[in-house]
Formats: sequence, C-alpha cells, structure tokens
Amino acid sequence: MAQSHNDAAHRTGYGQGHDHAHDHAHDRKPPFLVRWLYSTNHKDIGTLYLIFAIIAGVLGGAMSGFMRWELATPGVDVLTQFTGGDAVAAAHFYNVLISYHGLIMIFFMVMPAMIGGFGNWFVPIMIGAPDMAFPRMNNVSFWLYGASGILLTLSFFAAGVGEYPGFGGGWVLYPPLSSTTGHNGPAMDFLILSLHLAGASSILGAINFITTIFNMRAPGMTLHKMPLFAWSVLVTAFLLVLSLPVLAGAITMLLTDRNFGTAFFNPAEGGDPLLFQHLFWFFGHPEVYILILPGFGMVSHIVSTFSKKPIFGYLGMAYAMVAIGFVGFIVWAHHMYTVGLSVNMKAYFVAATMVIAVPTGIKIFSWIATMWGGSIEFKTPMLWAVGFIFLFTVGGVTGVVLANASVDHYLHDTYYVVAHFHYVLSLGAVFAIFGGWYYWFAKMTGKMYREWLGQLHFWIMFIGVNLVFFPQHFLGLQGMPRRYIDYPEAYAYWNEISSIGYVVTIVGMLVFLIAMLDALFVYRKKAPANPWGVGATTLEWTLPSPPPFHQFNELPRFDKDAKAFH
Amino acid sequence: MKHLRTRLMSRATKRHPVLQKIGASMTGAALLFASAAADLPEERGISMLPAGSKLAEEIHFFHNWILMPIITVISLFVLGLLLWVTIRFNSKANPTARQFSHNTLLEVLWTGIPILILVFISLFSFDLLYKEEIVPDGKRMVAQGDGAANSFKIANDFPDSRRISRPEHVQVFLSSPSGDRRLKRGPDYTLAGLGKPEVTVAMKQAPARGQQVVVTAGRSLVGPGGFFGGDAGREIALSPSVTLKVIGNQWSWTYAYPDFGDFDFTANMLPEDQTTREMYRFEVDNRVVVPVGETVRVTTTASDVIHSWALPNFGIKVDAVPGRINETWFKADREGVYYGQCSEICGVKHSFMPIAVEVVSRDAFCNWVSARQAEFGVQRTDEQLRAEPVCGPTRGPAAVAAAEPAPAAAGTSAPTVAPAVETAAAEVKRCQADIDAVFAGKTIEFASGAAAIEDVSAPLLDSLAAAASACGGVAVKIAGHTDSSGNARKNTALSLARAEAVKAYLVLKGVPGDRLSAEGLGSAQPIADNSNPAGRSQNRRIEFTVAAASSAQVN
Repeated sequence: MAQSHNDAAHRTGYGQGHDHAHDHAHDRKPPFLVRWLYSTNHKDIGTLYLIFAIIAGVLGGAMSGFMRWELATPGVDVLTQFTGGDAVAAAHFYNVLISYHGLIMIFFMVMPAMIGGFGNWFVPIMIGAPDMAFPRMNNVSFWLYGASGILLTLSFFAAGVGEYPGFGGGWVLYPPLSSTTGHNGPAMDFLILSLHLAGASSILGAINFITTIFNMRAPGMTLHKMPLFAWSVLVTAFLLVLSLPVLAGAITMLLTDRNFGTAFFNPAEGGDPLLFQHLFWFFGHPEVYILILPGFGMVSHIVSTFSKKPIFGYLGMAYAMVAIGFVGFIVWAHHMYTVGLSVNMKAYFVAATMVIAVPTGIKIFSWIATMWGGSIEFKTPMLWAVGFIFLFTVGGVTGVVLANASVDHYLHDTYYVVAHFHYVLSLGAVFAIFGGWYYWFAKMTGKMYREWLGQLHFWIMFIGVNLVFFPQHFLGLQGMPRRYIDYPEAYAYWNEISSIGYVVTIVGMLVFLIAMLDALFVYRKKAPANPWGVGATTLEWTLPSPPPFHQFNELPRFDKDAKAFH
Repeated sequence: MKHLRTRLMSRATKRHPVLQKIGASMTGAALLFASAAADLPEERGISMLPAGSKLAEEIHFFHNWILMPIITVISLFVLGLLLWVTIRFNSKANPTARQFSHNTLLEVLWTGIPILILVFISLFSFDLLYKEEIVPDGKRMVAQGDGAANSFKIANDFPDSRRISRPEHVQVFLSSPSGDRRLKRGPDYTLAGLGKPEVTVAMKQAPARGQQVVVTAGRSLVGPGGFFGGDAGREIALSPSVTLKVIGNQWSWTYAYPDFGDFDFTANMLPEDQTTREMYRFEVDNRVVVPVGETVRVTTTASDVIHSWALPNFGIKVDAVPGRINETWFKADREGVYYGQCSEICGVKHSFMPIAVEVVSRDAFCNWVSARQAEFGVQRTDEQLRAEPVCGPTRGPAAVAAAEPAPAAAGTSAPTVAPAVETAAAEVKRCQADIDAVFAGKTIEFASGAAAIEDVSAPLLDSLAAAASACGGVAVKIAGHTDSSGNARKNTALSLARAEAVKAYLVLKGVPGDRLSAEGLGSAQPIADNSNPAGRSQNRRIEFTVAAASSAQVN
C-alpha cells in the first residue's frame, strides 16, 4: 500500500515555490463572494455543483410529483387546477412537465452531481493533484450551468404552443414537434440555447478532467493504479467531449430551421425529421452512460471500502467501463426501432446493443466478488451500493429485452420503457449518487450524519421507488403508451399503486433533508479523517475532514510496486 | 405418374375456408373468447395483451418463454448472491476479510456465459425480427383432385433470398366437403426440388374427385414453434391482399383504402359522453375495418408531426413520419375489435387519438367497402370492382344485390349512412315486429353471474332463430344489459359475453353470423329502477334491435 501523506501538506506548506498566491497562508479562504463567485478551488466548485444539483433535483422531483398526482386516477382533473380548468392547457402543461422533468434530471441533476460535484471534489484528491488543471475554466463551466439554468427557466415560462407556456415535446426534442410546426413560441428557442450552454459547460468540464487525469496524477500513480472513480470520470469525460458536439450541432440545425429558414428537418423542403433523431441519439445514448458511469466508479469504492477488500478484477472493471463507453457510441438507433429503419440496420443495432450486457455483467459480478469473502459493514453508503447493484441489474435485464427489436415493436414507447430507464437511472444513478453522498458527506462537510437516519432514508426510498416503477412494467406489457396525461380505465390500478409509491418516495426525501439538516446543525459530530476504517484506501481518506482549502502542496508519491489505489 | 400443374390463383379469388380460421364450426364458447373485451387491457393485468395473430403469438412466445425466464433467473441469481454475501460475509459472521482480488476462471465464466445467453436469445430474436420486418410473400395454390393426379408442382419463382428451400417452407392441406386437414410431410406427401425453380409435392394418395389440394409456399413462416416445437402451429403468411394507408394528424388518424378506389375517412376519439367508461379513450367514431385471415399491408405517414400507429394485439408499432412512408403488416386470425393508441408524443392531445381496428369476415368486409364506396361517391367500373382484392369476384352489379349486411357500426355514433331504401325499411319494421312477438313476456335465462344459457330458454331461442332467419337483408344487434350492482367493468364484460352467447346460439341454429352483432352495455341503459329487486330483474336483459344492413344502400 502506498504511503499516505495526509499531514505532509500541512507541514510543508511553504515547500512549493511556484505557487506564490497561496504560499503564505495556504488554507486561508477568500471572502465569501470572492470565494463562491470567482471560485477556482475544485472543492468549492464541487460544492456549488452539488447545491445546484440538489435544487434541480427538488424541482425535477416536484414535477414528477405533479405527473404522478395527475396519473393517480384516470381523467384530467389535477393539472386543470393550474390552468383555470382548461383541459387542453392542462394536457400541454403535462407535456411540459415530462419534458422538463427529463431535461432537469439529466442535465441539471445527475450530470452536475456526479461529474461537476463528486468529480470535481474527488478526482483531483484521488489522483493526488492539488487542483484541476484549469481552475479558471472550472469556474466558467460552473457558471455556464447557472446561465443555462436561467435560460431553461425562461423557456419554461415563455410561450411554447400559441399561448401555452413551455416546450411540451419530451426531452428528445424531436422535430417537427419541436420545429415551428409543433411549437411556434420562443420556449423552444430558449431551450435550445439553454442546452447549448449546458453542453459547452460540460465540454469545458470534460476537457478539464481529461487534462487533469492525464497530466496531474501524483508521481508513481500510473493509469492502471488510478482509482476506479477517476477511471469512470475519465471515460465519462471522453464520452462528453465526443457526444455533446453532435447534440450541439443537431440543436443548432433545429435553431436555424426555426428561425433562419433552413430545412434540415423539414420534409416539405427536402429535409428529414429522422436526421435529427440519428444526431440526437448519437449523443443521447452515450449520454445515458455519462449518467451512470461515474456511479459505477462510486459504487466500486463503496463496495470495496465496506467489504474491507480490494476491488475484485480492477483492470476488468476499468476496461469494462471503457468498453461500455466505446460500444455506447455504436448502438444509438436502438432508440429508433419503430421509425422505419431497414431490417438489416435493426439487426445490427440489436446485436451491438446486446453486447453491452457483457461488460455490464462483468461489473455486476465483480462487485459481488468484491463482497465475497469480505467483512462487510452495512453502513448507509453500502446499503445504497447494494441496492444499486440489484436494481441496476433489474433495469439492465429489461434493457436486454428492449434491445430485441422484435419485442421492442411491442414495448417501444410504453411504460415498460419508462420502468426500464428509471430502474437504471432513477434507481441506478440516483442510488449511486446517494451512496456517494453518504460515503463522502463526512469528508466534504467534516460532520457525521446520524447512521439510523441515513438507513431509514435508504429503506423508505428503496420501497418507494420500487413501488413507483415496478408496476410500470405491467402497464407497459399491457400496452399503456408513455407521455399520456390520461389513460383508459383499465390502466387505473397500477397507476394508482405507482402514485402511492411516489408518496412513499417523498417521505424518504424528507427524511433525507432532515438527516442532512440534523447532521449539519443539530448532531454536529466532528468527522475523523477516515470514518470507514481499513477498507477506505483512496487518498481522500488521508486528508482531514474537511480537507484543507489546498491539498497536496507536497505531492504524494507511489513506489513502483505500490498496489493500485482502489 | 400423372402431373397436374397447379394454378396460381388470383389474389382476388375467394379464400379457401381452410385458411379462414373462423367460421360456423366454432362453438359458442370459442366465440366468447373472440369477443373484443378479452383483447383489451385488464385492470390488474401484468402480461402482454392477447395475441390477435400468429406473429403476435410468436412475439409472446419469445417474450414470455425465452426473455422473461432468462431475465427473471438472472435477477434472482444476483439477488441470491447479494443475500448470501449479506448473510455469510457480514462483519459479524466474517470478522476478517480475505484479500483476494482475482480469479481467472470466474472472470472467464462471467464473460463467457453471458455471451452464450445472448447468442441463445439472438437465435430467436433475429428470426422473429426478419419475419416482422419483411412483408410476407407467401403464395397459395389450389388444385382440384380428380382421383388420379398425385403430384403437384409449385413454381419457386421467389427472389433468390426468399426462395423456398426447406421442407417447412411448404404446407399442404387437403380439403373435402367433410372438412379440412393439414397433411403431414412423410406419411402424406414428399417434397422434391427444394431450392430449385420448381418444387414438386408428391402425394402418397391421389386426392379424390371433389377434394382440393391447397398448397401454401414461402418463407414467412409465422407462429410459435420452430426451434422447439416444429412447425405444427406455424403457418405461411401470404403476400398482402389489402393495403391500408394510415396518415397521422394532430390529433386523429386518416385511413385510406387504395385498393378500393382510395376512399378515405378520419377517425377521432369518441368523447366521454358517447361511449362507455371502459371504452372511453379507446373507442373512435370511425373504426378501420379489415378482413380476417388476410395479410394487410399498413403504410404510415403523417401530415404534421411524428405519430406512431400501434396495435399491441398484433405486436406492431410503426411511426408515422412526415415526408416518409413506413410499412408494416399484420394478419388477423380472429374477428373482433382491436385497440391501440398513438405512441409517439405529438402535442397536446397525444393521449386522445386512439386506434380501433375491426376485424370482420370477408363478406362483411366487402359489404363495408361497398357501403363506404357509396358513401364517398367512389365511381368504379365493373372491371375495377372485379379487380379489387378480396372482394372482386363477389362484386359487380349482380354480386352487390346479394350482398350480406355490413359489420356492426362502432360505438354509438356509427359512420353515417345514406337513408335506407323503402323496401329495406319495411323489412326492418316487419322483422323487428316478428322478433318482438317472439320475445313478448319471455326472457332468456342465464346461469347466475355467467354467460351460459339455461336449458329452459332453448325453445325461446329456437323461435328467435327462426324469426331472425326469416329476416332478409337486415342487421340484428343483440345487446346485453345488466343491473347496476357490482363492478361496472365486470358487468359490461358479462353483458357482452351473454350477448355473444346468444349470438353463438343463433349462429349454431343457422342464422348467418355476419348479420348478427353482439354488444355489451353493462348497466349503462337501465329501463327500470335499480334500487329494488324487481327493477334489477327487468334491467338484466337481452335486447334485439333490427336495422337496415348498409349493403341495402349500394346502387
């Protein structure tokens, strides 16, 4: 095991001659506004991202609340309360809710939490770097997110279709529904600009991570010794850099179609709506791996820590993520089985899609093998990680079902798909985020949470989200299409169960907020540098909790024969 | 050996009954299963909607017996492992962690076994995908037996990639007045020349005079079986005989029939007050009508934004994209009404543009087509009429006069029809009076809570059958009603089942089935007070309504 240098940074604060700005008092924090607005410190930026993600998550979660409330019984009778009784306006409002729920949860909750939040906080520390490679660019990428959020909010309230505000065409933004044919108001234009900024932010962030990871690893830490979370962020960053420009291109074409008379997607003038779908999903499919890969990294650390064992099959785990990232780029049209692709093309996408199950299976079994023979402590982060492994498996195997175009012709755009992707994202990515949150909460804040509150949060959420999403498999098999504000009587039963599950989930979220407020303001128990014991081997546990404003003024070193840091 | 060259019959000729899986031979019970309600989602349903075609059965087989078991076992396996490590390797049970981190054999296994599972899945997946995607090109030949010829030739004139080359690409049926049966390869016949330009079916026994040999050939072998079960339950789908053009609009569907003069109409969802609670958001004002047992080609496009035309009972879903034409197909095995809903978000009323397809007998379909052609003023020459697929030979001036009634109109707002001609109106009046006279003071008794007709009602039903048979050229609607006690959904299903049972009985007694329609109205139309037993008893009833058949308006 490599030597830890946790106190070295403190002791040798004057040792690094090149960093004059911080030489004299390396842990003195700037005044409040300067610290948080102009921040170039990776941990502060990570904190900003996490706060941003929590706010976005509450908003996105509230939107799903309105959706489940409306869907609890057949008939349009809930959202009409917000539209003065106008059922058509309510239907548009519902479409707006599903669209912004998706966009917020993907672009403004999961991505900022995993990459911007945990990535910023822990990648530099884990690889033994003092900060990100481009601290100022890091600041820019956060505030671009802020601007993007403002544009998204404007879009929500600006006219979408006629008088009705907001864009109601789903997060996939398919034209012609998203072109002036379907949405003639400025809401869609604001949305495009919002995504442009969010995309630019993510690209800048990704460049920063790639540069940091390639150039700033501590001496002796080769790529094959790098912690798996850093690996996961590295792969994710490549996916971002390669896929987001394609989205940017597609929505720019949409913008010019809408405003400047081009006809990329307008069939009346020689364009093709399906071109957008290809471009969108060339981004969109890697995007779903962008959402889940950092979660893979976090779960690996949590499982290893609480099993008190090194991760099983480290290289396999790292390269499984690389494989998933690579194959993720060549499977996009499995989202488009019903659009009229040729049969041979579908056959190819079926085969390629099913291949992803193999590296994913390697990861699942390696996590279990990591636990095998361990001495497992089921602390809160571990509960989330184990929950993640099982629920991600369930979401993964229904993905194998949907990969088969022959069955997808039945299930496409039904609630089965909704259940599938919420199992991998809402129960997968979000469980990973909560796992990471509880795992690193003490490290980030320097305070412990009450263990029983964390566990209570897990169990309520676990029951709640399963109650929400498992019955949706049945609805899908029974043929209920997604994105419906109203449905025939026969679908009422499972919809009601699903809505009850949402209420349970909300209780879980309240417990979460209580647990956090309690930890910060009531319990206030000071966290040690390493609350998790011998299993926690990565560098962040060598620093005090919270870490100093600047860490590693003297870089940690790894001997040639040091084991991988995982 | 005497060779008799088989004749490739025109697509427009009358279909042989062996391929019409529905008919008078079906029992009342079977008809009940074919009722529309059974094809709809159920309140606590957890499985795929009932299959309406062989292809959908195959999709069900693949999902229910290949994919579902595999994913269930994998999920439970992972869950079991997690529970085991939780029990065996928690810090109390195992205070000291072992420190291994590699096991080559395990890693090879958990890479290799999933690959094998995926290969196994793909054995079914690709086969099924190509069947769904490639519109069938099967053909059908009929030869008359003469007691001597026992060898029949089939031109293998398919494109290279679709040439019949394996024994299962040919199915042989023998049809005689006493019934039809599928012949077995080996004991009944042998095949020669597979993969060559001409395939020969050599029968062990020459079909007798009066018997017909029906041969279907092609690669579109649909239905579950194959890998496990042989091809006993599979059939060769024939090339499409009817094309249905589907155009998605915000927020309705327009349907056109290019084979029949390209008339078109638009289907809108029925508003809440014009249909039952159960059927609201499914039922439309103008259902699409297609013939049973015929391969229907569906082409889709859209006039504004993208929509998606879905019919879960047939396992099909195809996007309607402006500027593009997509194609799919289905072949309904059972008469009934099948429902679907738009499956691509298309704006504010995305939830309110359902799809309703009524599958009817060939005759009923042709009558419906005639009525629509009359309604929309489609001008057809006799020659054009005779060239129409499915209906051609039964059409033209002589055939139209003898045409049978059209299928039941959808819901409560039927497609509008022209005023009935006078003679038809008189016939309706007379017929209703006859039936009412038979009914006077009597009721049809059913077993409590079930659709089985009690024996005591047999004489009444026999009289009703006689009265209905005496009515010519009219349509009789049999409507079931219940009282208001109990679950409304179950009541509707029960009233429909009872109406279907009455219809089945009358069909058995010789009343032409396509003159009758059954309908379940549940407790929606009470005639007496539901608050006392006497009133409820009056409300539980079967009503016969006679109407002019739409064929009466043709010409």
